[in-house]
Amino acid sequence: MLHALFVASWPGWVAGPLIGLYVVAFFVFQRRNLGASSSFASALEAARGKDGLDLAQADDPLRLPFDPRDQAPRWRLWWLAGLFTAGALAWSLGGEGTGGLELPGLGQSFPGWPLWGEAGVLFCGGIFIGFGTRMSGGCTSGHAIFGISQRQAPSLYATLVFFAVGMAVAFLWNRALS
Amino acid sequence: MKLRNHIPYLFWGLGFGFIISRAGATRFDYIRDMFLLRSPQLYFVIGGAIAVALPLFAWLHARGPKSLPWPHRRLTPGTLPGAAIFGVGWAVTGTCPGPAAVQVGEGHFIALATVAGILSGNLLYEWAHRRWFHWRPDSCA
Repeated sequence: MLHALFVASWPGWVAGPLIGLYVVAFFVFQRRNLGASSSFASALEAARGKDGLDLAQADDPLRLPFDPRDQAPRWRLWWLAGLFTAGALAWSLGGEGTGGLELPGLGQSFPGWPLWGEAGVLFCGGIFIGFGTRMSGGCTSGHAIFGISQRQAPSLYATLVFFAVGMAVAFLWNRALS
Repeated sequence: MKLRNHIPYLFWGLGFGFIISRAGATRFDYIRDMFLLRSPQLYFVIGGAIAVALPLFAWLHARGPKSLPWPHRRLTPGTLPGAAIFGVGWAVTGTCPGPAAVQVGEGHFIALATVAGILSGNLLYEWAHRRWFHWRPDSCA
Protein backbone atom coordinates (compact mmCIF):
# COMPACT_ATOMS: atom_id res chain seq x y z
CA MET A 1 0.00 0.00 0.00
CA LEU A 2 2.69 2.49 1.03
CA HIS A 3 4.75 1.37 -1.93
CA ALA A 4 1.87 1.96 -4.33
CA LEU A 5 1.24 5.42 -2.89
CA PHE A 6 4.73 6.79 -2.48
CA VAL A 7 7.11 4.78 -4.63
CA ALA A 8 5.36 3.35 -7.67
CA SER A 9 4.11 5.49 -10.55
CA TRP A 10 0.36 6.00 -10.34
CA PRO A 11 -1.76 4.85 -13.26
CA GLY A 12 -2.87 7.73 -15.48
CA TRP A 13 -6.54 7.04 -14.82
CA VAL A 14 -5.90 7.66 -11.09
CA ALA A 15 -3.59 10.68 -11.35
CA GLY A 16 -5.59 12.42 -14.12
CA PRO A 17 -8.96 12.61 -12.30
CA LEU A 18 -7.08 13.62 -9.11
CA ILE A 19 -5.60 16.59 -10.99
CA GLY A 20 -9.09 17.39 -12.27
CA LEU A 21 -10.44 17.49 -8.70
CA TYR A 22 -7.39 19.50 -7.63
CA VAL A 23 -7.86 22.29 -10.17
CA VAL A 24 -11.56 22.65 -9.36
CA ALA A 25 -10.81 22.71 -5.61
CA PHE A 26 -8.05 25.27 -6.17
CA PHE A 27 -10.39 27.51 -8.15
CA VAL A 28 -13.17 27.26 -5.57
CA PHE A 29 -11.12 27.61 -2.40
CA GLN A 30 -8.40 30.02 -3.57
CA ARG A 31 -10.53 31.86 -6.17
CA ARG A 32 -7.62 32.06 -8.55
CA ASN A 33 -6.66 30.67 -11.92
CA LEU A 34 -3.81 28.26 -11.84
CA GLY A 35 -0.92 28.05 -14.27
CA ALA A 36 2.68 27.05 -13.94
CA SER A 37 4.31 29.16 -16.65
CA SER A 38 3.40 32.49 -15.06
CA SER A 39 5.12 31.39 -11.85
CA PHE A 40 8.43 31.83 -13.63
CA ALA A 41 7.43 35.28 -14.91
CA SER A 42 6.37 36.02 -11.35
CA ALA A 43 9.78 34.93 -10.05
CA LEU A 44 11.43 37.43 -12.40
CA GLU A 45 9.10 40.21 -11.24
CA ALA A 46 9.89 39.40 -7.62
CA ALA A 47 13.64 39.39 -8.35
CA ARG A 48 13.26 42.88 -9.80
CA GLY A 49 11.39 44.05 -6.74
CA LYS A 50 8.01 44.29 -8.45
CA ASP A 51 4.95 42.80 -6.89
CA GLY A 52 1.21 43.05 -6.65
CA LEU A 53 -0.37 46.12 -8.13
CA ASP A 54 2.92 47.23 -9.65
CA LEU A 55 2.16 44.64 -12.29
CA ALA A 56 -1.12 46.24 -13.27
CA GLN A 57 0.19 49.58 -14.56
CA ALA A 58 -1.81 50.25 -17.68
CA ASP A 59 0.91 52.21 -19.48
CA ASP A 60 3.16 49.20 -19.92
CA PRO A 61 1.55 46.21 -21.62
CA LEU A 62 4.08 43.79 -20.17
CA ARG A 63 2.92 44.74 -16.71
CA LEU A 64 -0.27 42.84 -17.44
CA PRO A 65 0.89 39.27 -17.90
CA PHE A 66 -1.07 38.34 -14.79
CA ASP A 67 -4.70 38.60 -13.99
CA PRO A 68 -5.10 42.34 -13.24
CA ARG A 69 -7.78 41.43 -10.68
CA ASP A 70 -5.22 39.43 -8.73
CA GLN A 71 -4.06 41.75 -5.96
CA ALA A 72 -1.10 39.65 -4.87
CA PRO A 73 0.42 37.51 -7.60
CA ARG A 74 3.37 36.59 -5.39
CA TRP A 75 1.38 33.51 -4.31
CA ARG A 76 2.69 31.95 -7.54
CA LEU A 77 6.22 31.95 -6.12
CA TRP A 78 5.06 30.02 -3.08
CA TRP A 79 3.19 27.60 -5.29
CA LEU A 80 6.37 27.14 -7.34
CA ALA A 81 8.34 26.49 -4.14
CA GLY A 82 5.72 23.86 -3.29
CA LEU A 83 6.36 22.11 -6.61
CA PHE A 84 10.08 21.98 -5.85
CA THR A 85 9.38 20.68 -2.33
CA ALA A 86 7.08 18.01 -3.76
CA GLY A 87 9.92 16.78 -5.96
CA ALA A 88 12.24 16.65 -2.95
CA LEU A 89 9.58 14.74 -0.98
CA ALA A 90 9.12 12.22 -3.80
CA TRP A 91 12.88 11.79 -3.99
CA SER A 92 13.27 11.29 -0.22
CA LEU A 93 10.51 8.66 -0.29
CA GLY A 94 12.41 6.83 -3.01
CA GLY A 95 9.82 7.40 -5.73
CA GLU A 96 10.31 5.76 -9.12
CA GLY A 97 12.17 7.99 -11.55
CA THR A 98 13.63 10.26 -8.86
CA GLY A 99 17.25 10.75 -7.89
CA GLY A 100 20.25 10.98 -10.15
CA LEU A 101 21.58 14.02 -11.95
CA GLU A 102 20.17 12.88 -15.30
CA LEU A 103 16.49 12.77 -16.19
CA PRO A 104 15.11 9.24 -16.68
CA GLY A 105 15.53 8.26 -20.31
CA LEU A 106 17.49 11.37 -21.29
CA GLY A 107 20.57 9.36 -22.23
CA GLN A 108 18.63 7.32 -24.81
CA SER A 109 17.70 10.48 -26.67
CA PHE A 110 21.26 11.84 -26.50
CA PRO A 111 23.42 8.76 -27.18
CA GLY A 112 27.06 9.46 -26.45
CA TRP A 113 26.51 13.11 -25.51
CA PRO A 114 28.53 14.62 -22.65
CA LEU A 115 26.57 15.97 -19.69
CA TRP A 116 27.31 19.59 -20.56
CA GLY A 117 25.98 19.00 -24.08
CA GLU A 118 22.69 17.67 -22.72
CA ALA A 119 22.48 20.57 -20.27
CA GLY A 120 23.10 22.99 -23.14
CA VAL A 121 20.23 21.49 -25.17
CA LEU A 122 17.95 21.61 -22.11
CA PHE A 123 18.87 25.27 -21.61
CA CYS A 124 18.06 26.11 -25.25
CA GLY A 125 14.82 24.15 -25.04
CA GLY A 126 14.03 26.03 -21.84
CA ILE A 127 14.36 29.32 -23.72
CA PHE A 128 11.73 28.04 -26.19
CA ILE A 129 9.47 27.10 -23.26
CA GLY A 130 9.87 30.47 -21.52
CA PHE A 131 9.46 32.53 -24.70
CA GLY A 132 6.60 30.44 -26.05
CA THR A 133 4.53 30.18 -22.87
CA ARG A 134 4.87 33.90 -22.19
CA MET A 135 3.87 34.71 -25.76
CA SER A 136 1.00 32.25 -25.72
CA GLY A 137 -0.15 33.09 -22.21
CA GLY A 138 -0.08 29.58 -20.79
CA CYS A 139 1.28 26.06 -20.90
CA THR A 140 0.04 22.56 -20.23
CA SER A 141 -1.55 23.52 -16.91
CA GLY A 142 -2.94 26.95 -17.79
CA HIS A 143 -4.10 26.19 -21.34
CA ALA A 144 -4.62 22.42 -21.58
CA ILE A 145 -6.02 21.61 -18.14
CA PHE A 146 -7.46 24.85 -16.73
CA GLY A 147 -8.26 26.54 -20.03
CA ILE A 148 -9.99 23.65 -21.78
CA SER A 149 -11.88 22.65 -18.62
CA GLN A 150 -13.22 26.20 -18.38
CA ARG A 151 -14.13 26.11 -22.08
CA GLN A 152 -11.76 28.87 -23.18
CA ALA A 153 -11.50 28.56 -26.96
CA PRO A 154 -8.03 30.19 -27.23
CA SER A 155 -6.69 27.61 -24.78
CA LEU A 156 -8.09 24.74 -26.87
CA TYR A 157 -6.44 26.09 -30.04
CA ALA A 158 -3.15 26.67 -28.21
CA THR A 159 -3.23 23.11 -26.82
CA LEU A 160 -3.83 21.61 -30.26
CA VAL A 161 -0.90 23.63 -31.63
CA PHE A 162 1.64 22.75 -28.92
CA PHE A 163 0.70 19.07 -29.00
CA ALA A 164 1.01 18.94 -32.80
CA VAL A 165 4.37 20.73 -32.80
CA GLY A 166 5.68 18.64 -29.91
CA MET A 167 4.73 15.44 -31.74
CA ALA A 168 6.37 16.62 -34.95
CA VAL A 169 9.62 17.48 -33.16
CA ALA A 170 9.64 14.19 -31.23
CA PHE A 171 8.99 12.15 -34.41
CA LEU A 172 11.74 13.97 -36.35
CA TRP A 173 14.18 13.54 -33.47
CA ASN A 174 13.33 9.86 -33.20
CA ARG A 175 13.88 9.42 -36.93
CA ALA A 176 17.24 11.20 -36.76
CA LEU A 177 18.31 8.82 -33.96
CA SER A 178 17.40 5.62 -35.80
CA MET B 1 0.49 40.35 1.62
CA LYS B 2 1.25 38.55 4.84
CA LEU B 3 3.21 35.35 5.09
CA ARG B 4 0.18 33.66 6.62
CA ASN B 5 -1.73 34.22 3.38
CA HIS B 6 1.02 32.73 1.25
CA ILE B 7 1.81 29.55 3.18
CA PRO B 8 -1.30 27.68 1.92
CA TYR B 9 0.03 28.01 -1.62
CA LEU B 10 3.14 26.11 -0.60
CA PHE B 11 0.89 23.20 0.31
CA TRP B 12 -1.22 23.56 -2.85
CA GLY B 13 2.05 23.41 -4.82
CA LEU B 14 3.18 20.42 -2.78
CA GLY B 15 -0.02 18.54 -3.66
CA PHE B 16 0.12 19.34 -7.36
CA GLY B 17 3.84 18.57 -7.58
CA PHE B 18 3.46 15.22 -5.84
CA ILE B 19 0.62 14.12 -8.11
CA ILE B 20 2.49 15.01 -11.31
CA SER B 21 5.65 13.41 -9.94
CA ARG B 22 3.85 10.11 -9.28
CA ALA B 23 1.98 10.39 -12.58
CA GLY B 24 5.33 10.39 -14.37
CA ALA B 25 4.75 13.83 -15.89
CA THR B 26 8.22 14.83 -14.73
CA ARG B 27 9.93 11.98 -16.60
CA PHE B 28 11.72 12.69 -19.86
CA ASP B 29 10.98 9.18 -21.19
CA TYR B 30 7.23 9.46 -20.39
CA ILE B 31 6.91 12.76 -22.26
CA ARG B 32 8.82 11.32 -25.25
CA ASP B 33 6.60 8.21 -25.26
CA MET B 34 3.52 10.44 -25.11
CA PHE B 35 4.59 12.40 -28.20
CA LEU B 36 5.63 9.22 -30.04
CA LEU B 37 2.24 7.63 -29.17
CA ARG B 38 4.03 4.75 -27.47
CA SER B 39 2.27 5.08 -24.13
CA PRO B 40 -1.22 6.34 -23.22
CA GLN B 41 -0.17 7.21 -19.64
CA LEU B 42 0.07 11.01 -19.94
CA TYR B 43 -2.96 11.16 -22.23
CA PHE B 44 -4.89 9.50 -19.41
CA VAL B 45 -3.44 12.07 -17.00
CA ILE B 46 -4.30 15.17 -19.08
CA GLY B 47 -7.51 13.69 -20.49
CA GLY B 48 -8.61 12.40 -17.09
CA ALA B 49 -8.03 15.82 -15.54
CA ILE B 50 -10.13 17.52 -18.22
CA ALA B 51 -12.82 14.80 -18.08
CA VAL B 52 -13.33 15.45 -14.36
CA ALA B 53 -12.80 19.23 -14.28
CA LEU B 54 -14.89 20.14 -17.35
CA PRO B 55 -18.28 18.99 -16.02
CA LEU B 56 -17.51 20.26 -12.50
CA PHE B 57 -16.60 23.71 -13.85
CA ALA B 58 -19.71 23.69 -16.05
CA TRP B 59 -21.86 22.88 -13.03
CA LEU B 60 -20.14 25.59 -10.95
CA HIS B 61 -20.60 28.09 -13.75
CA ALA B 62 -24.32 27.38 -13.84
CA ARG B 63 -25.03 26.85 -10.14
CA GLY B 64 -22.04 28.14 -8.20
CA PRO B 65 -21.49 31.52 -6.52
CA LYS B 66 -21.44 34.44 -8.94
CA SER B 67 -18.26 35.84 -7.41
CA LEU B 68 -15.89 33.21 -8.82
CA PRO B 69 -13.20 34.81 -11.04
CA TRP B 70 -14.03 33.09 -14.34
CA PRO B 71 -11.32 33.82 -16.92
CA HIS B 72 -11.99 35.31 -20.34
CA ARG B 73 -9.05 34.29 -22.44
CA ARG B 74 -8.50 36.31 -25.58
CA LEU B 75 -6.87 35.00 -28.73
CA THR B 76 -3.96 37.42 -29.21
CA PRO B 77 -1.59 37.42 -32.22
CA GLY B 78 0.85 35.62 -29.90
CA THR B 79 -1.37 32.80 -28.65
CA LEU B 80 -0.78 30.29 -31.45
CA PRO B 81 2.82 31.18 -32.49
CA GLY B 82 3.75 31.10 -28.80
CA ALA B 83 2.10 27.70 -28.42
CA ALA B 84 4.14 26.40 -31.38
CA ILE B 85 7.39 27.71 -29.87
CA PHE B 86 6.48 26.14 -26.54
CA GLY B 87 5.76 22.83 -28.33
CA VAL B 88 9.34 22.73 -29.60
CA GLY B 89 10.71 23.35 -26.11
CA TRP B 90 8.37 20.77 -24.58
CA ALA B 91 9.55 18.02 -26.93
CA VAL B 92 13.24 18.95 -26.65
CA THR B 93 13.44 19.22 -22.85
CA GLY B 94 10.80 16.61 -22.05
CA THR B 95 9.15 18.96 -19.61
CA CYS B 96 6.68 21.80 -19.36
CA PRO B 97 7.08 24.62 -16.81
CA GLY B 98 5.44 22.93 -13.79
CA PRO B 99 7.35 19.64 -13.92
CA ALA B 100 10.65 21.49 -14.51
CA ALA B 101 10.54 22.78 -10.91
CA VAL B 102 9.58 19.32 -9.63
CA GLN B 103 12.46 17.71 -11.55
CA VAL B 104 15.00 19.88 -9.73
CA GLY B 105 13.48 18.83 -6.39
CA GLU B 106 13.60 15.18 -7.46
CA GLY B 107 17.37 15.48 -7.57
CA HIS B 108 17.68 15.77 -11.36
CA PHE B 109 19.91 18.81 -11.09
CA ILE B 110 20.43 18.87 -14.86
CA ALA B 111 16.90 20.35 -14.94
CA LEU B 112 18.41 23.53 -13.48
CA ALA B 113 19.50 24.16 -17.07
CA THR B 114 15.84 23.94 -18.17
CA VAL B 115 14.74 26.29 -15.39
CA ALA B 116 17.50 28.78 -16.30
CA GLY B 117 16.34 28.54 -19.92
CA ILE B 118 12.70 29.21 -18.98
CA LEU B 119 13.69 32.34 -17.03
CA SER B 120 15.93 33.51 -19.90
CA GLY B 121 13.14 32.87 -22.39
CA ASN B 122 10.81 35.04 -20.32
CA LEU B 123 13.35 37.88 -20.30
CA LEU B 124 13.92 37.46 -24.03
CA TYR B 125 10.18 37.63 -24.67
CA GLU B 126 9.81 40.83 -22.65
CA TRP B 127 12.58 42.39 -24.72
CA ALA B 128 11.11 41.14 -28.00
CA HIS B 129 7.60 42.23 -27.07
CA ARG B 130 8.70 45.79 -26.30
CA ARG B 131 10.68 45.98 -29.51
CA TRP B 132 8.44 44.34 -32.09
CA PHE B 133 5.01 43.34 -30.84
CA HIS B 134 2.23 45.84 -30.40
CA TRP B 135 -0.64 43.83 -28.97
CA ARG B 136 -1.71 43.72 -25.36
CA PRO B 137 -0.72 40.33 -23.94
CA ASP B 138 -3.46 38.16 -22.49
CA SER B 139 -3.29 37.44 -18.79
CA CYS B 140 -0.79 34.62 -18.45
CA ALA B 141 -2.15 31.56 -16.74
